[in-house]
Amino acid sequence: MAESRAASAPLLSTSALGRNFGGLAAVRDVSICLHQGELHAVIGPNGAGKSTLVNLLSGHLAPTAGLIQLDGRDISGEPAWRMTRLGIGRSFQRTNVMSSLSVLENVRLAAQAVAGLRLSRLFTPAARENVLVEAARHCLERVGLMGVEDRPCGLLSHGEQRQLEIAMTLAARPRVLLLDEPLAGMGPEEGERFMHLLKDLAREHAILLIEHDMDFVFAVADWMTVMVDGTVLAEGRPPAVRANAEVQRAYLGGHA
Amino acid sequence: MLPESKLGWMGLALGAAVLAAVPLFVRPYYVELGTYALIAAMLALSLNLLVGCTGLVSLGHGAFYGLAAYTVYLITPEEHGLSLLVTLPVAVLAAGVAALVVGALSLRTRGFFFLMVTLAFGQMLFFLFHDTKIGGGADGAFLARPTLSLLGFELELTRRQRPVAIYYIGLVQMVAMYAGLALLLRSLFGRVLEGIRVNENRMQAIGYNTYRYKLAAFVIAGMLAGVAGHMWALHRGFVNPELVGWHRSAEALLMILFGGLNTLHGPILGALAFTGLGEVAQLLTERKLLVEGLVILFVVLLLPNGLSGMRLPGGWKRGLAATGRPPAERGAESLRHG
Repeated sequence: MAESRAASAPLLSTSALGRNFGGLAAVRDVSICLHQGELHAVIGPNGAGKSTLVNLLSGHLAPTAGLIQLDGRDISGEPAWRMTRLGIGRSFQRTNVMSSLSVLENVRLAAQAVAGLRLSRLFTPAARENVLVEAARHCLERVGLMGVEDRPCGLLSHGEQRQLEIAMTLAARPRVLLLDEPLAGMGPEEGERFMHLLKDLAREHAILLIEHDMDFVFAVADWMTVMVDGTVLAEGRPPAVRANAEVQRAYLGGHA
Repeated sequence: MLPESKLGWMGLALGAAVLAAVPLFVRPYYVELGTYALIAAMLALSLNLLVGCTGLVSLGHGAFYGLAAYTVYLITPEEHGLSLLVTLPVAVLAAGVAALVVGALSLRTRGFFFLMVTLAFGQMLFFLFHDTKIGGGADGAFLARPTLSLLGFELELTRRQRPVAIYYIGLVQMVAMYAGLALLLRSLFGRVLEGIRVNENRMQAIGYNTYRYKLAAFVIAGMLAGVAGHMWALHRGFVNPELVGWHRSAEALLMILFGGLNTLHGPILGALAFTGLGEVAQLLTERKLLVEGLVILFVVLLLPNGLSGMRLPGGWKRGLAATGRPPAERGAESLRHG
């Protein structure tokens, strides 16, 4: 499949992307490509710059160097809300929801944000907007979070909140999904279900996945980038990455 | 935040009926006091759109209230009052434009800095009226009262002659404001404000330009404060710089805390109770502010959700238990307890 990867134009790409915090280069010279229908995993030790990379792509941080392109269009430095509208959705490493609002309302708000409503419609009663509620229900169904719609989401279990994160991300109907450690805190059973969802999602989206569970990553990834010290150490198909001596030394250790 | 649909509307109807009956039973002095309480309620309601609904604590809200009152003074000719149908829209528009300018700049900041920037803008406006002769300087100025002319029928709104008419005009406006806010908070727009209050960063991450929503809320709140300020000019026929200063904004904040910021009717309760409290304190003692301060302190300590969150007798216990938690958590608390 290496050939097909080269053939299609990337959906999201970075070139020589960098971000400094004072004197520290958290991300430097990172050039990666995300393709439609591909699950691209980024691995690396703690502090390798993975989360900073996600924050750059989602607009939570502005790059200090380099470009981010979506469909060939430069979108570097756009704010987070516009990145979401452009079709780049992200989930957070630490659950980040409107905790006193209901589960359904959280997802409904996410659907509302990208619905492109006219100004007059903004002032119609929310209860009348069935389209948004249906869209929200559909997303909850898709991640397997059912029967808790009316609960304030601060009361959900940790695993359920992780599912809610994904549902909110999907409600924005993104083309690119940035998933920052979506498995953190999920039980084995939930993890299993999530793997199926992820494979399913990978067909219609370009996915960037950050995950520490190496068994999981090697099982789902189509393409991998290994980051160390803010920069790309290696990339390739999972078997090639597993066999790479440098990666072995820098990160995987005895794992593979 | 939202009133339970049917109960809310019934409560509104009942509350309005009670307030409408007041002038039938009390002396004119208390009708005037009631009018003042209604004006305070409108100011508190408008400020709570920012504080309780959007999570924006402003100390400059009095500026829009005072500016509207001054606008009535500035557009009114010396010899006769203008129609209410002219003064109200103009005053509200002036407050709205000022809120747009102040909001556009101050909403670039958050939290404590926002508080300070709004305070600074309010004080700038205070000194504009205090130190220049635009509105009679530090002493303030009298103005001819607006008239109410509808369909060729003209009612001169002189306080001495028409305290009851002015009271009812205030009541109609306050009820309309309450109903309007209830609808606003239930709309898609209102839901976004609620989301911003709970977690603004996440709202940005799911695609909201929260700055625009906050600015819209700030302008709407400023215009509603303008309605209250206009009513003050109509009621008292007098403007002075105190109307614009931060003290007025702080008082409105106290009323909101007093009544409870998690409900729409809380600020109204707070404003009515606060006005009544001031009156009683003045009758009982020369140290009015001390009594007021103590009562407010106890209410805030014992009833973190304000008077509107009072559930006797269990409410006191729960109130004590919940003291000191941040408002966001209290929001979840009130959700759970219905």
